[in-house]
Amino acid sequence: MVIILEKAIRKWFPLFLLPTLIAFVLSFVVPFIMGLVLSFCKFHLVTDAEWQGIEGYKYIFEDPRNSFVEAFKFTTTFAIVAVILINVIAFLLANMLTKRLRGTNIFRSVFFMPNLIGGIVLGYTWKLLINGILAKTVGEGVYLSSQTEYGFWGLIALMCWQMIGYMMVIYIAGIQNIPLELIEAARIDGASKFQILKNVTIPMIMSSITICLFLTISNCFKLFDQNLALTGGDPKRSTAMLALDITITGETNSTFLNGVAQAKAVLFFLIVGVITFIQLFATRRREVQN
Amino acid sequence: MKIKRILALVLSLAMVMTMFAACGKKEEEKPNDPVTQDKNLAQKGSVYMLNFKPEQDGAFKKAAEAFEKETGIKVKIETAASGEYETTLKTRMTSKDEAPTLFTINGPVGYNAWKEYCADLTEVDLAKMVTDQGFLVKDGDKVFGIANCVEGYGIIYNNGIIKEYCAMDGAKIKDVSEITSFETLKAVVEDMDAKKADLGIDAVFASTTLESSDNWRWVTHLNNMPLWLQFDKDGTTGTVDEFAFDFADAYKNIFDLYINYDIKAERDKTTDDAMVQLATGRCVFAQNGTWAWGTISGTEGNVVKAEDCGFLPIYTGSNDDKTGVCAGTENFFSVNAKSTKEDQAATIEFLKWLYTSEAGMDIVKNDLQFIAPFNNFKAEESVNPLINALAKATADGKVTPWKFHVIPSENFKQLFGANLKGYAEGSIEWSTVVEEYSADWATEMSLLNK
Repeated sequence: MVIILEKAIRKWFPLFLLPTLIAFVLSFVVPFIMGLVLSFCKFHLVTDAEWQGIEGYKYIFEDPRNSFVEAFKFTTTFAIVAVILINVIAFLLANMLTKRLRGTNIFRSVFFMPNLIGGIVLGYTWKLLINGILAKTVGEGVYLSSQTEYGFWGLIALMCWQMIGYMMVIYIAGIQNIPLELIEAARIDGASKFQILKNVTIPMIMSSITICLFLTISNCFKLFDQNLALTGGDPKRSTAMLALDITITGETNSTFLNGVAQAKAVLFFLIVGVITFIQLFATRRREVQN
Repeated sequence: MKIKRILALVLSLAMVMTMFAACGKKEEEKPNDPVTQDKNLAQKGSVYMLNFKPEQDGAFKKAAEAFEKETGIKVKIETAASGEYETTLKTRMTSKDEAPTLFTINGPVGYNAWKEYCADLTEVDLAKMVTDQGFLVKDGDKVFGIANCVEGYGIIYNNGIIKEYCAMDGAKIKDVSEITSFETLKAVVEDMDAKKADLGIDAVFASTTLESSDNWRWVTHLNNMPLWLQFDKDGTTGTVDEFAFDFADAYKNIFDLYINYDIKAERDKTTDDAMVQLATGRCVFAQNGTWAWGTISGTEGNVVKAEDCGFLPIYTGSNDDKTGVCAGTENFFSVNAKSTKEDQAATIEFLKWLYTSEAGMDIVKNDLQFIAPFNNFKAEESVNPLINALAKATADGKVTPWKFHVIPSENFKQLFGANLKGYAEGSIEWSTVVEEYSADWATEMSLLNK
């Protein structure tokens, strides 16, 4: 009976797969390929594209304002700082909240909450908040949008506030999965708290670290809503990250710049793909299989 | 597994092929004959309008319904979400059979982008009825866009506070009408600032909102002054590839006045917030247009009475005697050149009905609240004092035309805006603002033509 069923499944599965496959092709594969082709075109409407080869790609690096390269530098710096801060703080919090403190559950929920708020709302809220603080501390008429540094640290603060709770939950799950015997054995052997952390806890939660690093790095590189609402690229596009830079480039009546924006989007896809792939590869190798 | 792979491969290949095919195939050229007005032809067509301003959605739908009842021609109105008009238009125009037949362009720059889609409207009656040639978008002798309304802007004032000021000892003027030049305006503003405690105001001007999301009053509207002065001097019309910012000082004069005497602490707010500042009596002046009355009169605790609200022209110290309230539009109706003859005729019929029939004109006046740029409309009192002020200025012939639709791109405005912001905060020199203005203009134009 089972064998007959399996045979039938083997024979008919493409039919069952079809609806999903069609949806996937229409909403993902087709736009993706269209985007790829359009990056080599000049266009105003996607239907009247005109082939222009790699001109768009060339312009990205010949751009007198160098906006894409600048955005890439800014994004990378942002990602490095944010990834380190988020993961370190999230891990410390997770470590603390697995120590049977009073009200652990309340703390966990409260720390997780920021993650439930949308990026645009968060951006505007933080903008008001930071502008208020700047006016009180630096002086009247000084805003988040006045200096690149303010925008940078504003974005870092926002991103940390939003992501730490989520990462913390993942770390908590990892830490709770460590068999108690291991820690007990280490303790009997006379390991200090730091040694336990370094030699037992961290190797045992390597899979959580992989997930957290993957999520934070890709989220930092793809950041858009928060960037748009908090700084909007001010001052003078200096705080525009990759995704925002692409959008700004595409807001144009120039058929040429539309192609450039599309080319930037393809490069963006490659950059994000390569970075997360390397990261995944690097941490996967160090995971402990249990 | 094998079947799946083959299936996926075949499907993606098919998609790639269609894409390349679609890309490579050139649209067959359709001769752009002038659109003719033909009632019989119109009966076979239908109208599909893509509307630009969300606040006008209801009025246009009302017009569509009335027109449909009268003529039997179907009208579909779609309104793009606020700020999404260009994107929506780009998407809708890609459809072959169901593209909009009626859409709006913002002037010469918009026309350049949509050239292939703008039908020749030279033979249409409405094009011959405009009160000024500036209400048409032309390419050579041919007409491709017709303005649908006239709007105006200037420095909105609250005469209630000005009257209080005039009654004070040593006031520079006795009545607001005495402000006819930049010098007088400056003297009055400085004097008011000195007496602001007695006048009970926070500052003379509303906040100079300089965030990139809300700087259009300076990068677009105020920018009109040097553009107009230059075009007037050089005698140019249409777009220019290079722009010498000769009247930078004119811009600086008025901009300095704004940033020296505005509510500084709230420059990160929106234009609407600035209107609320004016409405609640925290300041005397705010640069904005006819459309601002809705916000001002709708503000809770509004102290600006309708009879006290009016416009001052934006004086800059250059050509002050010729400067008036800025009147113009950036909404021009265009008919889709790629629509069928029947649909084009139906669209023209709809426009004609809207602006010439009694029922249509009533909607234009009372629901859309447009000042129509056509000679069959007579000036009438409006509930909006700013529209009345504009109508009076137009009747007196004292208006400055809108020239800002020749600005090359959104990016140009944002770069200029960022420099203005830096200048206002003291981190950028004025000379840099001027240099980069001309340089950015040239770069943006070259990208547009590339």
